[in-house]
Amino acid sequence: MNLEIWGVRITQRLVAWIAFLILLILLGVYGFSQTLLEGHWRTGLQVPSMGGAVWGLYVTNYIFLIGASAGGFIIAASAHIFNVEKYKPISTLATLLALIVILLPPIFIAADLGRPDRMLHVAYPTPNLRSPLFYVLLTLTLYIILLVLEAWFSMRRRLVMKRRWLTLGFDDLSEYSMQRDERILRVLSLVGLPLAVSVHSVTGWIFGLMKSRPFWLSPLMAPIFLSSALVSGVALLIFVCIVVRKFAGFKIEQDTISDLARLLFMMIPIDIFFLMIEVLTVGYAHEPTDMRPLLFLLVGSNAPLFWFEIIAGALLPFVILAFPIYRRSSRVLTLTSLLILAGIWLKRWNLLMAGTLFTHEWFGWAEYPLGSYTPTWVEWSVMTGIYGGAALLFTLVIKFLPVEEERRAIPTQTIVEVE
Amino acid sequence: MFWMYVFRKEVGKYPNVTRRFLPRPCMHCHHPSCVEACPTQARHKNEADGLVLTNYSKCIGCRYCVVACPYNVNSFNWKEPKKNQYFDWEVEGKDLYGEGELTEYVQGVIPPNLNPDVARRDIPTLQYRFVGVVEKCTFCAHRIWSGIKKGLKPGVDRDATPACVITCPVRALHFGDLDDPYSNVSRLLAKRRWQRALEDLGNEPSVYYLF
Repeated sequence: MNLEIWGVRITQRLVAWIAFLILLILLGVYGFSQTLLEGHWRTGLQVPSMGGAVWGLYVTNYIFLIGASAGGFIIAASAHIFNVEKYKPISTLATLLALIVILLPPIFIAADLGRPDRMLHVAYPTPNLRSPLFYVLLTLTLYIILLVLEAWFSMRRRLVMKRRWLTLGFDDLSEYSMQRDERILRVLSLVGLPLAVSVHSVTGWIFGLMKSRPFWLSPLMAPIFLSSALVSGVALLIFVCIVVRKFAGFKIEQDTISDLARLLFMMIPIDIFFLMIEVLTVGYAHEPTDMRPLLFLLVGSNAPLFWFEIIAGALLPFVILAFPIYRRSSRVLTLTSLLILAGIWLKRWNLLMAGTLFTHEWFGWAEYPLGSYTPTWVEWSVMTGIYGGAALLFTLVIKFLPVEEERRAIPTQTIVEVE
Repeated sequence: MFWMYVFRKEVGKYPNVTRRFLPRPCMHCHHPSCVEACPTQARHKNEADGLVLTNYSKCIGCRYCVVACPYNVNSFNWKEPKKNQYFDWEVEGKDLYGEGELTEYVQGVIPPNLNPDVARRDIPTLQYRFVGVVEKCTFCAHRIWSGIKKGLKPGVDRDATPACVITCPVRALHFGDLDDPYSNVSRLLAKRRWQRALEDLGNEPSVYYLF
């Protein structure tokens, strides 16, 4: 097969991969149509008074994906702001990864809403400025716009050469305009860092401000979301770097990936530390309303997931990453980053369940039946479809956009001057 | 789904066992958490009478109010709400299914969205109950408002009082104006020992439990 579209060779392997992803998307569309046509009874969700979780798989993925987009942006931004030469070759890849990942949470929310057609009512005509969800929409929109700009500016030079129509006429390649691009990227990154912090904090405050859910009401919620966002984000970036190097022929230095792994190694303890504070505070004070969700996590029906999160999702990767020899091995790093991603996903799940399933007792005895939540196949299929769509989008972006940075000879003198 | 949930609990040791019941309507708080959380102002506090109500045409079904409410009073329409969820009832021999009679019954002023029994999907003006939105107890706002319109006093006249209060066979529930110091409920509160649920959360619920 010798088909070429826009200068990209379409191999059989690529066609099979895209066909597989389209199948996944169709599965997701079918699942989504079930809730659209029949209502959310097709999901496993239920209101608390009937004993159930009112937010489930969709919201878990929503907070997980918002977090997972952090890594790409932080790495790209530090490359632009601090001129970290090591990260420059992957800065475009990292920005595009962050952009694609941040496009998914709104789709999960659309699947979660009872009336997705009214989704933008949050902004217009009657926004409620006291609701955290308003600020979620605000910061997320700004963040997406910023990431689009950042991706466009970091690719502009290569767009001029390969995809001229995407430059929208700005195809000046002079030295001056290149420097201007660099400056714009630096400003965008400087604006973006606080914006990224607020995106993750606001996501934490969706939960951390709820006095109705004793386990969630904690000032630690914003920092804990930020730290797990960084951990899962960098883990995702490492995983994607290894995958595109292997399957798309990207030239990424092993040193760059090892460096990301070292960064990950330093971030995991912060994340564990925050979780430990939370567990210690609740456990030591052992207030009855707080203890029920904690015991549910530590020894109750959710214990396997919680201990997997701690041991396999944080401690084991931490120990593995402590050895420089493992930080250089692609196989070990793939496994480790997948473990971390699974761990952070479960962390979101555990946090959500400990909050939605448990509420206050009245007068010491009036309590709702202890609920449980099992996602149905509709929810799993929507989730599969959305992840499939993300993989398809990422494949197309990698194939058709000039993401890969050209090799630039780094003059040694410049580095000396910077230092 | 429960607009009013009744907690049940067995207390005591055999042979001295008894059952306790505790109804849980919407608390219609003075500082409602759901109103603060609702991103679209669909959940709002009515200025005139302090009722906490939902505008079903604005609700996006995010269920944040369900999460935010410490009393768990909200219910979500997981399925298309159907008339046969409730009693098939008629008013003075007239079938409520006819649009004309219904308009007459609500006198054109009561939004039928506040009355689960009369909202209908196939009548355009009454399409207020949707699948995928959050509902909760309204203190029978449609009864109170139509009663006040007729010059009746809520809590005293049956037609201006929530349905749960007038149907309770043991008269366990009372309803009235708390701002009026001479109303039936104000006198009850002055006379009896009472407690409000989850007082320390500061929501200041309007439902008082007498002991």
